[in-house]
Amino acid sequence: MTCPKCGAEMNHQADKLVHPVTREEAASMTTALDGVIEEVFACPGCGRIESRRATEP
Amino acid sequence: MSEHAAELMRAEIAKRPGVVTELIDVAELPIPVDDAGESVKDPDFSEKMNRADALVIVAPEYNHGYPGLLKHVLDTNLKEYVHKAAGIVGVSAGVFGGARVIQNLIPVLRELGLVTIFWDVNFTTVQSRFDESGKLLDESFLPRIEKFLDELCWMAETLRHGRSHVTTGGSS
Repeated sequence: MTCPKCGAEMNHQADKLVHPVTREEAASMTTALDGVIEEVFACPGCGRIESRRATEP
Repeated sequence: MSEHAAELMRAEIAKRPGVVTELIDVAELPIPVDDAGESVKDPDFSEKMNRADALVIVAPEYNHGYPGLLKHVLDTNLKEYVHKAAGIVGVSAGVFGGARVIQNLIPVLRELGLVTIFWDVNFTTVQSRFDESGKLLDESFLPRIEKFLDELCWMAETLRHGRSHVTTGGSS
């Protein structure tokens, strides 16, 4: 992911388990995982934090 | 009287070289209460959380728990908190100094992705600790606050490096 603030390549610093917010996300959940993954990134340049849903668990 | 404790913490943090801090009163944030979570984010508050390396939460204890409004405000963000340091200052009129609000708040902060430190500050019998102007009457609290902030700053600096340079899964 590219930092929207300074353009640097962001570091994938965490995968956070979160609750689903749509029916589609809820349907894609497995019982074992019990949630969906939010990938969290930090910018080494300016420190900005961004995130996105993981495309694969 | 939590405001006096919060202002004292802000002032002590501001004395630290290279540290920029701001006091945020959750009661003044324009966050609706007819919904919850990220759908009621306040952009200004979220931007401040995005920039922050650490949070000091000054919380009064109500019925052994945390104020509902504090939880409501914390729940409006997530990515902004992940791998950031958090310390808790408990405030109560009794002798436990918010020990129970701290214990109840720790699992909430953990789920939000925050990293709690092992130092707390406990303002016991807070009604006797400050005068009406907010001046601290008992300076024996200051060494503990210093230790609390030493640990918080260490954790904040370490986590800032980690967020930027250590990749999840072990490769960096």
